Amino acid sequence: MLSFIEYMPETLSEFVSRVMDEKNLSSYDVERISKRAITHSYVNRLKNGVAKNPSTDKLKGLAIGLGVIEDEVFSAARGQKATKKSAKDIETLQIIEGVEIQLDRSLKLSAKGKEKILDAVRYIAAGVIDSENNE
Amino acid sequence: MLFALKKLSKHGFNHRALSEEDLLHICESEDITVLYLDVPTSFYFSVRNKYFIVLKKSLKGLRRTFALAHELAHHFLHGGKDTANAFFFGLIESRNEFEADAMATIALVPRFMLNSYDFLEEHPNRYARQLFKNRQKLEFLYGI
Repeated sequence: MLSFIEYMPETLSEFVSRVMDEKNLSSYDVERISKRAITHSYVNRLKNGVAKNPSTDKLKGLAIGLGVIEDEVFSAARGQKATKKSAKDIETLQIIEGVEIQLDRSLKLSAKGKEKILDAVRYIAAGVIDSENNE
Repeated sequence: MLFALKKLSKHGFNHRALSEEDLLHICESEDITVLYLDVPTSFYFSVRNKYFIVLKKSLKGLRRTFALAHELAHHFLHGGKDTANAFFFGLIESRNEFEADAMATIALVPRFMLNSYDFLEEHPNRYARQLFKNRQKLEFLYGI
């Protein structure tokens, strides 16, 4: 589990670079995964800190392309420090990634089916983490 | 297999035919939340020591009871102390899935029921016939 201290605030450019690096994604991969909601050239401009004010749609496309939760991208774009909610999102994301690895081992599941399962897991995990953090 | 059954026998597995109601009662006593959702397959999921069984909403009758027993078997046999654990019904072939299937079969058809055809008369369908056949195999192979 990631603690709040471990999650240092970063700019959008740093965030994009880090996630792409961690997931070994190229700007073309991000474009493809986002289903062209964001172009590879715009991803590069964000990564290099050239594009400063991306639109909401572009940020949403970026989140899909990077495979992260939208809130993380929006927080980075606002240059905000990690909040308690972000830490929750990170833990949820880690759980989702673990489940996704398992699901990817199955050849019997369609992409739509996988999304449905991940949605359910996300819903449950976020609910548990939320309720415990509020205690 | 014997070890697995030993762990579950105190919950009634192999002593009597467990109904969906019986299994839900066990879930309640184990603090497991059972959800019925629009998902392609049922699964067991735990996060921060909170336990969930998600059943495929469209399942009915014996198939639903079997899925519930299968996921409950994961809880007792394979649930660990990791931050999160998940097991998916029928998606991945593994020893854990085989064990959960076997325990679910035993939950629905305890050994004494193999001596009569009451189960098949009560459930006159192909799924029940396959389940009964699988139960006979378990008895033959493991003597349980």
